[in-house]
Amino acid sequence: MLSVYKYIIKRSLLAIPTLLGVSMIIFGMLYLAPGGPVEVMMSSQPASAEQIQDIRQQLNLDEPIYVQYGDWAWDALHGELGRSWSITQGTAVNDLIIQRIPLTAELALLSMILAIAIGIPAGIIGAVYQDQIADHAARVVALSGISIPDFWLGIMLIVVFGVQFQISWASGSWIPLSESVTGNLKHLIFPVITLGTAYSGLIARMMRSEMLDALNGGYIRTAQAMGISNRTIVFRDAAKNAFIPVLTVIGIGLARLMNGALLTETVFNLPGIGQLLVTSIARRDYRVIQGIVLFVAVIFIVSNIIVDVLYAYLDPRIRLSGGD
Amino acid sequence: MLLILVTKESNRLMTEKILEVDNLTTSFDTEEGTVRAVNNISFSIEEGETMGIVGESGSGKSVTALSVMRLIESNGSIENGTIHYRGSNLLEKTESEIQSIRGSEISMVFQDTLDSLNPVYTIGTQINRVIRKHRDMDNKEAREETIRLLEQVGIPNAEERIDDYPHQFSGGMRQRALIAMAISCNPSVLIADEPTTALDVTIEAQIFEVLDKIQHETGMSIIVITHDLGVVAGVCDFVNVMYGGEIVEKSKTDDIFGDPQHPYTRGLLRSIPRIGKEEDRLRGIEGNVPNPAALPSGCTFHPRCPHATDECRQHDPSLQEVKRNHRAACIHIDGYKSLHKEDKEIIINDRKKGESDD
Repeated sequence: MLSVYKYIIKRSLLAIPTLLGVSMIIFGMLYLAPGGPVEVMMSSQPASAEQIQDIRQQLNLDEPIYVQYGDWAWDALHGELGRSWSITQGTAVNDLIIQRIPLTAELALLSMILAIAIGIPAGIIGAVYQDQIADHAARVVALSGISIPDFWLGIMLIVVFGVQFQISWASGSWIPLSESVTGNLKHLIFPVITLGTAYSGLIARMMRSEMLDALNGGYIRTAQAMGISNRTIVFRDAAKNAFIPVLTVIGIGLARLMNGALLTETVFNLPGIGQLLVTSIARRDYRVIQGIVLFVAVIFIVSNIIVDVLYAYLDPRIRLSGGD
Repeated sequence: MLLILVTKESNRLMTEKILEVDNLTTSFDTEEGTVRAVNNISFSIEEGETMGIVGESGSGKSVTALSVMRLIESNGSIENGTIHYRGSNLLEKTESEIQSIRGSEISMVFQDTLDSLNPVYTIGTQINRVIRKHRDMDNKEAREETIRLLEQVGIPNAEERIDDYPHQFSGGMRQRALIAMAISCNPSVLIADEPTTALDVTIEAQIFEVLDKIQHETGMSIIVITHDLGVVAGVCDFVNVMYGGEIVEKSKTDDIFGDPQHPYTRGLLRSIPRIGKEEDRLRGIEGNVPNPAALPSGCTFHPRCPHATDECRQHDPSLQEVKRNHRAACIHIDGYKSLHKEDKEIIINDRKKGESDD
């Protein structure tokens, strides 16, 4: 399995230009902001030109853009994303992101587990009972999941369970896992439902169409002619083939969730990466924004590599080659 | 002398009809209405025999095979008829009963398409599980048996190749693997649906050699479904010619080639190009296979038949005995000699010429 390592190294090297491009674009935002970031930062409070000049000097904004970029990129290369400019001033961006990762990762994982737990069986049922009542029911559920905006579902859950039924953990503040496992999980139930249903719809639709494809495969007929039971044919023969493309959706979905669910985290007041991004944008805290976007890009690249490796593991027709 | 005759006769009676299909009609619900893909056909096969079902695509030959396997798709159903295997009607079996028959008693080899084997499991895994489903073997025994089967169908290095995935096999090798799977539980009847259509002629010959060898060893009966009369001539003991969902002629293979009765059969035979014979173009049968949703009235072949009369347009002829073990469904058969003299001469001349060329 040496080829797998070779493949990962090759893909990682290919990621360098991507990251370079992403970092340049996100750094360019700073240059493009009208009046410069400091003016935007200070716009809420009266500030003299001298004060602005002071801050500009402090933040090295007087240097030419390529020098600034070079400094920042050099630090980023060493895993140092700089320091926040705003109220949390001075805090290392690394620390800000690292603090938020556990919550966001937990939310992402639980949501995806829920989405898979609903989506895969719903897709299989839809395909096996194609055009029958079970299929229609699964389709309605899936399409609702896709169509309902997650912030709306979140707000509705809070209104119904938090406000009407007065369930304390339906809304309100989040408790870290280290403090109370049950308390932590309780507070995540509704956010997980909100995010999970959205992705379950997507997974269900994809799984259904892939299952229909797989069930038409010649190998299904072969298995039937050999007396293999229908249950085995559906779950072992068809589902494994159908799952491979669905894995891409799951991988990308998980990467997106890892980058923080902006709206859901805001609605449920969860201090995750999404919420950090929203507040940083509001405060024009460019260093934090840049850090998060770079983090996002890295997560996407890594998850894509993981998906590709899993793909090759599940589908023997795809051979990983380190060479060529 | 008499004694010998008697024993011979009783021996003949002893040979069991292993599979008997009577008045089978299979129809499908389609957007164009109910379509009879197979219409009232009957045939039977004895132990150790090889039977051919020949016809153009759309003639109902594959549906016939799938009906025997009870593998008709959900929009289709067996409307009428019986399929007796060793005396019991397969159409009365429950799904789980039929599953224990499929693969172990009656097995099927399909044409190798790229996905006739599951791409995500190894060849060994796929054969192994069939063995374990029907035979009392543990994983290790089944693996040894799988290697033996792969060797039997002529796969070199079977011990290593057992762990290959289907895409690592060539088309001919996959077809062999499919055969190994189909015979893994010593079936009494093997249905081979276009088993060599995707392969070149050399491999085709090898595949049939393998089937022939296995048949000699196990005594299984084989039903070969093909559009290729060359295959029929090479391997079958007797033939059913299908057209428009019906059997239009059935006889021993020699009789079909030597003395074809139905105009369709004759057309098929004349459309075989002969090596060494100078011809400007291939001779086919004029027209197309009828749409099963709108079969012509009377004899389904009449729109393409050069001898069709008004009677043909009105009467759907049933199979009638032309001579011993040779039946055809054409109302003109009685007057065959006078009416089709010309045709017959062409065929006889063709054959003579073919023989003298050899």
